[in-house]
Amino acid sequence: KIFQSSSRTSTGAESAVSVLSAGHRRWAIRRQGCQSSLVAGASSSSQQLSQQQQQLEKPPGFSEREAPAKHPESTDGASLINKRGWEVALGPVRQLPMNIFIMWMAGNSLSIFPIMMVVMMFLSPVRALFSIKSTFAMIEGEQAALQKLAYLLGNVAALALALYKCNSMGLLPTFESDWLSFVEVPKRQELSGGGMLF
Amino acid sequence: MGINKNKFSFCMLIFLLFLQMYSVLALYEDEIGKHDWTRQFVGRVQHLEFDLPAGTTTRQRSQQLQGGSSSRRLFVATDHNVLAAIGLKSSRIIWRHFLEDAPVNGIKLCDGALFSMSNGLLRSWSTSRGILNYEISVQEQLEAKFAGSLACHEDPDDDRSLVFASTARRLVAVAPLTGALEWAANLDAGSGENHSEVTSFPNPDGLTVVTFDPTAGKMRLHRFGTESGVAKRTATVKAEWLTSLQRCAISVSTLACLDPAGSIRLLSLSSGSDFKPLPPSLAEQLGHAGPWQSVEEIGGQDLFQLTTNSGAVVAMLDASLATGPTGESLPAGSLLRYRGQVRFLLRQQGDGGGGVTLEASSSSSLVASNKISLSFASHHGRVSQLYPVTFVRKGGSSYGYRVVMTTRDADLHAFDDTGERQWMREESLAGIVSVEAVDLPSADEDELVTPGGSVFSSFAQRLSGQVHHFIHVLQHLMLCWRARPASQADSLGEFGYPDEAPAPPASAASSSGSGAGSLIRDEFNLHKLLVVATKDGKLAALDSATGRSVWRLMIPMPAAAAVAEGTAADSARTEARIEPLADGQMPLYIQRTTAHFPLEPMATVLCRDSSTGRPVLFSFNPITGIGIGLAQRLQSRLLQALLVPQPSHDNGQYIRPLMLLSDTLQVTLYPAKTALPHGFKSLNLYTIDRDNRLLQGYRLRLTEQQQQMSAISTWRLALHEPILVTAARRPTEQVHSVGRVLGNRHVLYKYLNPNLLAVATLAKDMVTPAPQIGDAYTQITIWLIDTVSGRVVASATHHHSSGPVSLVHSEHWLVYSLWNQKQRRFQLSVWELFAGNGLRDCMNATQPIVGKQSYILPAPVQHLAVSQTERGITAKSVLLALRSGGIMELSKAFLDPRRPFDMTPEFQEEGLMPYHPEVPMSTQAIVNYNQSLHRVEGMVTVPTGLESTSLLFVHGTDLFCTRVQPSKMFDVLKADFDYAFIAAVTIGMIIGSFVTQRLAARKALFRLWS
Repeated sequence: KIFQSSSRTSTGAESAVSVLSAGHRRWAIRRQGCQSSLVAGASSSSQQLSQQQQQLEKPPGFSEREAPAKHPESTDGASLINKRGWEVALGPVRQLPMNIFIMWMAGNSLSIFPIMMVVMMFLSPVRALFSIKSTFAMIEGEQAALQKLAYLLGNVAALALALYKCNSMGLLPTFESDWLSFVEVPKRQELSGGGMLF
Repeated sequence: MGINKNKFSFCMLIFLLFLQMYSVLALYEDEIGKHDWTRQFVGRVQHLEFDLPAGTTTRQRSQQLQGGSSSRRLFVATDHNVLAAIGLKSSRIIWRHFLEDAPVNGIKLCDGALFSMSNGLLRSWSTSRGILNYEISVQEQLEAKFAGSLACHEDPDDDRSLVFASTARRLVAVAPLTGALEWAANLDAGSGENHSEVTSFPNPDGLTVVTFDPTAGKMRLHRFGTESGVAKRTATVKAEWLTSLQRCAISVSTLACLDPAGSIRLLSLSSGSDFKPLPPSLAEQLGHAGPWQSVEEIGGQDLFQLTTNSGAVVAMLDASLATGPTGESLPAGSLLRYRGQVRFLLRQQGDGGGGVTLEASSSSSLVASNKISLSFASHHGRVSQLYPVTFVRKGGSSYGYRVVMTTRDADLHAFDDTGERQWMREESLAGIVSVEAVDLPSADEDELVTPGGSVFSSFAQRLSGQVHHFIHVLQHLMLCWRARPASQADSLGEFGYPDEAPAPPASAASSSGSGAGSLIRDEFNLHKLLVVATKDGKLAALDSATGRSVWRLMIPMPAAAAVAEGTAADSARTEARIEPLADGQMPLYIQRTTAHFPLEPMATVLCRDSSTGRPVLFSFNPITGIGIGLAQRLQSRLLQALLVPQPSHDNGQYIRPLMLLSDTLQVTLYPAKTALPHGFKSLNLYTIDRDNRLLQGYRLRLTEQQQQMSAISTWRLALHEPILVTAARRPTEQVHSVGRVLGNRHVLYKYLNPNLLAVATLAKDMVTPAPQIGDAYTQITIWLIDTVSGRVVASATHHHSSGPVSLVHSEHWLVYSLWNQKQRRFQLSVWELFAGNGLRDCMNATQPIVGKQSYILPAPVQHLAVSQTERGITAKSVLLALRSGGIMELSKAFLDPRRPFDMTPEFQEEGLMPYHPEVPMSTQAIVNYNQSLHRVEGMVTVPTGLESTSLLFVHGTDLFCTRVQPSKMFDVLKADFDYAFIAAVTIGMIIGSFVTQRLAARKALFRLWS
């Protein structure tokens, strides 16, 4: 019973808020609404509310001063372009820690998921390197050369990471045994035969 | 008591039921005989007894005679030490026993049981099932080599029979039914105990026993009665001129012996104390002056057959000369036998084949006297033994007879009294000494074109090849058509195989008559011909799919070489025969395969002429069995021969030349016109001299004339120890991989030297102290020798070990089995050779690293072999012929010297099994399931067209052929592969993709319109 009534009151307050919200600071109104609902129960007119507002003590931490609005910094175009350029250039590098983590999680066993991940890991830098022209077109400004280099190095690092992963999974033919089937059996140079004396 | 018994039988029944259950688990029933076949033999018959002795008058016997015609059988003892019963009608083996490795001295039917004497043991067998009734050791101490003799004394009057069995030192008389020892007597054999010989013959009163001591040249004569072991008469006779009792024949009252000059000496067993020469008057009556070649006893009553080079004489020889001789002259090659009252005379002309007649005559009217001609193919050679038997016909009014005979090739034939052959058993196949597998000619024309020509020449070759092929097929069809009536006439027994009628070119008829149509290569080249050579000088080809003999051919004797040799050859005609070379070798060489179609394949056998000891070469077509040219007798003795593995491509003959090294170190090529092999830095030959314990290597070089080749000795290695066995890699073996991948992904390179020879020698063990009982230990040394340089690559000694040693060498490894005397168990040892890291020995040759390991084999093994596949990709299996009769397939992975004691993940990754001292033996690894193979003498593996499969052919007393798949059938779809389902799914997908493509196109069109 008690629970029901309280919920009912709260719904009443909500409706009051919805009515009163227009043209006022939302935060204040809400507080007001809450208070009004708590203190005065259901009320219907805004005038009554403003009266009550004046009557009521301000809650602790309340200030009349408006919150300072964030003013957009006045920046010039060049630095913006630079910034954007760096964002693009450092994209691959930012991905590296995550990739390392994924690879560590995937383990060195040769099963379908690690292999898929390695393939993905190969594909994304390769794809990026293939579309490097369009990416470089986005980069301009005085630091463009450096940024391009950074982008390239980042992708190469991703590739290297994928290669390292392949190596640690044993997918790279770096051992003798990987080339064993290409080793020809030496041809017989000398013919020899015989057996027990006839 | 009764309840107990019931319980017991109930338990027994349950137990037997369980046994049944487990036997079912072993093998799918429908797989029996699907890819394998077995043929069972007994070997060359040496002693033969019919279960119905002729001329017996005992009532019990005649009842048997009339009643049990269906169970009539003959008992044989053979050179394979086999005792067997063979159905007289069916030719089937009813039962068969393998006796110990000692010759069977004799078999006798006595009082309804069969008696055998071998290794100093008298055994009694039940005739119906071959169950051993009892066994009596004639002599207390067992000796290494026993001479023995067996006789049966049957007294028709008092119904008391006795079996006499004697070794050279002791005689026992045994009651046949009970095996009770009636009495025993010691025979004084003289000092040369181990070589003393004995022979005996029953006489009306009892038995005469003659022992002979060849070292002292003394003969002792004993006559015993049936009652006691006190000799009625003993006498010592000096006979220094006699070498062996085998040159003597004993009868009721006379012993006739041949002296080295070839004249006959007689000794009266009843009264004589010294040998007397044949009196001149008697010799005149005989019509021959000798020298005699052999003397045989032919059926009691002092009748002997004396044989010379030109003929034979039958005479009743009595040393007391009381009765006159009844000499009868017979042509050469005749055989005379008496069976009771009936006299059988077999005449044969020429060197066997056609013209064998048999005359049966009887003094009484028991058997209707008749003369029949017997026919069998010429490849059997002469009749060498004749065993007649007479029996009462079903009505009981008349008598009939059967004749069983062995021919020179060891085959066993049975004829009835109309001259019709009942059956033939190919016992010659029990004596196979060498085997070569030949690919059948392929039906398609892929192989008609030889690679390495221009487009036009290939096209022309192909066209001409097609035409040749067509003509060949036509000829084949014609031959089949002509040979059809002959083949229909053949009688076919269950195990007796059809034999051709003797047509003039017998080999040609045989090749076309017996199923030439089916002799076409199958899809995977699993169907081959196994060309075999037997120790009696016979060649045969077995169908690898069925085991049937496709053709048979006796190696012809080469014509007398020179006029000067004429007389010698003439005198040796009766004796001369083809025999294997020293050490039982009779190598077969496939000189041209079937791959060069218009040219017919060619194989060559190398054997020896027994009279002159000269090597004989004979070439033949291995598919049809027709000789190519005549047999050649070589003028000089040979040391060794080497077949060059590649054909020489010169003048389009594609013949692999055979290089023959004579004892004068001259090298000749066979055929003479073939070109020299090229592509090798050097050609080498080695010989193993078992007598002198010496290995020698030769290098062949051209002399100035470029046509003459000679050999120079390059190395010799004296081992100073008896050589037991040797093994070398097969020259045609294919190696696929040159190394082994380790767990850390590095490579162990194999030491692949194709010229290695493994030798096992035996010596006294000087290290291990001798055991408290028994002889001192011996040791086995294994040597691995490079046959080009003579260098010992590796060697190892097994202390307190002895033979039988069996060796097998393949790729880079060596497996051998031996007997560990101290631990009393069989051991299987393995060596693997890996290329070292550049270590060189003093001869500047790389030294391999040898890994060795030994394993315990829980069963005795007779022979080892290794599976062979076409490319060498498939894992290898070691095949072990067990003494128990099984052929076990053991994966080489079990025999790995690198099996570790402590398992690490690295070893695990490599696939190594942890070391376990015992080799696992599972019943599923027995490739011949319940078909036990006894006395295995060799195992041959042949690669097939399927990489996974190799054919295994086992020969010995039994023949067996099966397919071996060491890595299972990885290159063949399973038998239960669902073709229909896969096809339905694939077709459904294709249709589905078409339909969806159409639908998608329509939808796209609609979208464009809307």
